[in-house]
Amino acid sequence: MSSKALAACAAIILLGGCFQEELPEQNLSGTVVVSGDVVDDIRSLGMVYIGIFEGWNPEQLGYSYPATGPRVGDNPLGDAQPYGGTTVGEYAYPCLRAIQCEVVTGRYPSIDDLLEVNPIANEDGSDMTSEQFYDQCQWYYGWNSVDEFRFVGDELDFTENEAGDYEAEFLAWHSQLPAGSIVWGFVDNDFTTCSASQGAINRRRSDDGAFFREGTNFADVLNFPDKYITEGDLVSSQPTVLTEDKKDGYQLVIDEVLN
Amino acid sequence: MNRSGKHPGVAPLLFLVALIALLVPGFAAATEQTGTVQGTVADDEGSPLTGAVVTLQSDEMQGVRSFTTKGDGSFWMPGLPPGLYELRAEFSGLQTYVQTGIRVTIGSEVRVDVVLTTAEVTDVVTVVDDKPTVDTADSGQGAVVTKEYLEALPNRRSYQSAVQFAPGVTGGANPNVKGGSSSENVWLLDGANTTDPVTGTFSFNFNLDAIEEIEVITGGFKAENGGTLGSIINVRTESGGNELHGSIRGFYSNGNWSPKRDAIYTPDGRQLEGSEFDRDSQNFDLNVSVGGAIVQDKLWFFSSLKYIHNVGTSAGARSPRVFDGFNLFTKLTARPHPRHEVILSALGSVANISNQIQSFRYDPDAQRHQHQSNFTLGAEWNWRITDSIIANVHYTRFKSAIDVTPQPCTWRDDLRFKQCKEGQSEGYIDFLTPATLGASGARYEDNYWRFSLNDRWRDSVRASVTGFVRRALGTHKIKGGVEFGWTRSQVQFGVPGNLRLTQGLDDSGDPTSVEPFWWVEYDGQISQANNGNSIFGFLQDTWQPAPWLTVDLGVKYDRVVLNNDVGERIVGFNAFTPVGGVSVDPSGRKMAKIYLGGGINIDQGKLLVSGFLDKNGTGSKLYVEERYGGSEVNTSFSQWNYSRGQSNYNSHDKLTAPRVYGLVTGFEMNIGAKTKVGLEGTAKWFRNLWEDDEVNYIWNGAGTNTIGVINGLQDYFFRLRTPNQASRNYYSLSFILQRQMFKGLLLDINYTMSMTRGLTETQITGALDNPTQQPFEYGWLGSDRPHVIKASAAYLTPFGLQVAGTFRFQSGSRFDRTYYSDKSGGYAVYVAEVGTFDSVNPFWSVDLRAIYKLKMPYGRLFFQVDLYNVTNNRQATGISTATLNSRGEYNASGRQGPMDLQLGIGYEF
Repeated sequence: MSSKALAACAAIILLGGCFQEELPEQNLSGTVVVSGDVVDDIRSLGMVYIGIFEGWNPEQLGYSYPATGPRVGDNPLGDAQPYGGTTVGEYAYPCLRAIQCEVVTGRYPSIDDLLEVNPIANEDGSDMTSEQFYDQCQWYYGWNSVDEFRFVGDELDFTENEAGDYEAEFLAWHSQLPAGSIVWGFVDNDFTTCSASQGAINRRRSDDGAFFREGTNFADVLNFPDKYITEGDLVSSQPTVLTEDKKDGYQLVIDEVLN
Repeated sequence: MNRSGKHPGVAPLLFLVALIALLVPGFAAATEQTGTVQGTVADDEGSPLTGAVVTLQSDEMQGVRSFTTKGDGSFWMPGLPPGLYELRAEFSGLQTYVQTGIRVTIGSEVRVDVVLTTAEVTDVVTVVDDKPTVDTADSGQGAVVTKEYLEALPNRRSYQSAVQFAPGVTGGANPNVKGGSSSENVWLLDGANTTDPVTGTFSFNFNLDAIEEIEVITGGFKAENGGTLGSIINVRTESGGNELHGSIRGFYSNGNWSPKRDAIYTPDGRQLEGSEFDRDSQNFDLNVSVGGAIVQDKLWFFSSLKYIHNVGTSAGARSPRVFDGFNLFTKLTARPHPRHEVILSALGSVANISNQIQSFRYDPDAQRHQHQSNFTLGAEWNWRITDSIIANVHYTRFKSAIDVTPQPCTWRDDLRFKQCKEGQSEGYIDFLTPATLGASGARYEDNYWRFSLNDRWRDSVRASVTGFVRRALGTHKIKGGVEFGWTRSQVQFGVPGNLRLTQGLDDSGDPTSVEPFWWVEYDGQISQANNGNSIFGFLQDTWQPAPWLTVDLGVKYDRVVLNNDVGERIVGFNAFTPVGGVSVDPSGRKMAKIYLGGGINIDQGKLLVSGFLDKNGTGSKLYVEERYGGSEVNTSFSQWNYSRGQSNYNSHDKLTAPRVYGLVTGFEMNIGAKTKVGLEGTAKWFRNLWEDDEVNYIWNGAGTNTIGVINGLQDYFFRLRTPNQASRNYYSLSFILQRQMFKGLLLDINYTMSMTRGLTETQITGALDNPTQQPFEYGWLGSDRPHVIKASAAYLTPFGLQVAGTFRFQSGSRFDRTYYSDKSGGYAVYVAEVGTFDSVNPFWSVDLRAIYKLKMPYGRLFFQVDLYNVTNNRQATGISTATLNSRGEYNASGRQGPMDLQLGIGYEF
């Protein structure tokens, strides 16, 4: 070992904190804006998927879509090979099978709001009240504080800006960020990305012992978005291009409704 | 040897060793194994006496050591085995001075300044050493568990339990020491590194009667104390003396003497924890040790044997766990020449554990057996080159084996063991019959489903030279050394019959909608062998510019190489690190000290780290899944075949050396005969620990599930790293009150207030696998114990009955509320910093011991009663957070052991 290498080694050890790991992955942050023109009620907005891709192709499907690899098997399109991504919101099981795969976190400030968007009928035909809903969740999860209900709360994902659009911050963890790649996203408004046959096995069997799963998103959404994008979903018509050495402050606009 | 004390030809040797120490990179601990007595001899006018003869003798030191004082009246007697010593100073025409009861412990620098008077009241004046225990020249932290401690205080006759007396030590048999994890300690046996090279844990059990002393170094490491982020636990064994001595002791305990606990139910009838009423346990151990001279003053021996038989059945288990173990230790010490000492030692142990899995899920036919053994061979040469220079060379070979197999069968039908079948001989191990796992929730049948044969080696050669230099701006104790280490691990594992039948239910447990199916797994036998090598070099100077001031300075060099099973270098680094410390005696009379020390220690890694990237483990498996409908028609078939080139484990290009920065400070002062109080503060910053992350999955914003994969393959891909996030901080303040056994009374009280925060306590965890969880992963760690009190006392009554008790209190561990992760299928998602949800309640216990020794011809008859956890406290020591709810209902994952009575009888001579 050369003396220079030894000196460098000693410096690394002594200074410790100077160790630069130089990981190829970085965090990417920014704001996603959902145009007010394409949203009727922000509470009913589906899960927002944001991905980082090599490029995009506005012609292939008639709307903005990531560039894909070759088709394999029965897939309608090839793998989009994402570099990373994230979501705004997640599927949360709301204690009742009736609205399984229909509730996204960060949308509802209260149980009343949730029930207003997703009315639930009791066995006698009456509308379920927030108290009854709370009791059901308390029984189901064993929680006794509304603070633990992840699908309602004061901290909502989106806020309305002066232009009447809805903004939310996003953070794509641990993503590869080659310069020139794009950030593209879509909103799954009809919950086709949620699989009712996946997720946790029901934690408390009901009296009839019914078996079910609570539902969760499919694991390949960013690889094959076309499998899940359907009529009524929203897409970003103009992806955002990443520039070198910039890792935050990006804005992605989702402004197109698929008909 | 000439009378001047200078040895011709020594200088080149010293130069060579020092050069090696300086230039060659290094590994492992070269911790001091002996103590030193030094001081001066003067007349009653304060004039130093040249030519005074100082002699030391002890039961622990074969023969007598003598020294003639130098021109400044000083003497220096290093290399003393720990024990109680008598010092005699003689000078023609003056009164002879004798001091008894001098306690020398490992690494201690005991100072005795003698004044010889001309008063002729008597020819000999004898003084019993009641000086306190403050080592004013030491800027380190730790504890020495002496023979008296081991005999007097209740310690379950386990050296690992005895380590728990030290301040800052918590946890179990592999303890957490001042922020270190349970796998970050270095375990030494007479200085030989016996730490498991794969896991970093202890590797042997031992007859407590064969132990002379246990040194636990918890902070303020000297340069020679390398290779650890946690502590150095140094077990020093007994040696034979000129007189024959020995003991035989037997101990017995029975779990049926202990109160048991009923099952615990929630108000709605759900069982939280099982009953312990069907638990049945017995423990018997026999300990024999003997030592003496083969050739008086030339050759001595010591030998020790331990046998353990333990039986226990956990609640619900269908067959009893049986542990049978032997441990044999032998040591030969030869001193063919007054300046040369050769020590040969061998430790061998073997144990068999039958029906190892205590679970209702395992039929006796499907039980697991573990055979474990280890062997340690040590050869040491101590050469007192001159009165001021000693050299030490130490070779150690350590080998361990752990073989986990299906339970050997027996033809005896009175045992709830696996029964032999036709054609099988007694003890036959079935590697051919596939195991069957019943439908979900059912149990294993037919055979145990896996086997692994593990062998581990550690070889080390160490050489060091210690010199005592006077009149060079004070005195210097200079020590330099080098240690070369080689480690190797080999494991073979596979599945009996290369087949496992899993009889399950479709759709992960829905009993209402599916047909049973079979999962057939072909898993060929796989062999892995990885290895490492290391070099550790150090040079240190303990400098005393004035009698009240000691300065420690040192530098270390670590070179570590760890390879995987195909010979790829996974880890390879070199590191120079400094250490230093200052100790001041404000009294000027060796009555107190204030100290400050600090330094950096490097983790030398474990084969676990390079084994993470073994290729064969994931390289040649073939899984075949076949599903059949109820009509026995094959309805699906899928196959996964991993080739060697598709390993899902990789290493990041840039790794750095995991390390700890340590800073210690404190003071100690004597407050009475052999009694001291102290306050010690410790700060440790662990940095760049071994970790891995998962690099393929893309997670949703909450981290509860994945939404895509980067490389197109739905599978985990891991990467070894030493990230900056993998850190841990520890801060503590300890109060200490300690009285060595003196006039029948021993006291040891300490209270430690501490905090431990960080990313992880275990290496290569999943802490970084889900990046969205990173803001929450750093927090209070499970080993954090804000308040720990340990109070022990022993008293020898005038009637010969010795009684002792230990009280321990410690805060419960912190835990978190976790939420369900769809990806992992378990409760793994945090919404707040780890460790912030709540803490397990604190727990405490009282242990008692009574010993009576009855004088008999040639020796003493010995009776001992130990009572552990006298009040039968059963506080939870850990909980399963998955089922926790906000009503406070949770399952204890561990509880304090019940009250336990142990009886002992023996004879010693």
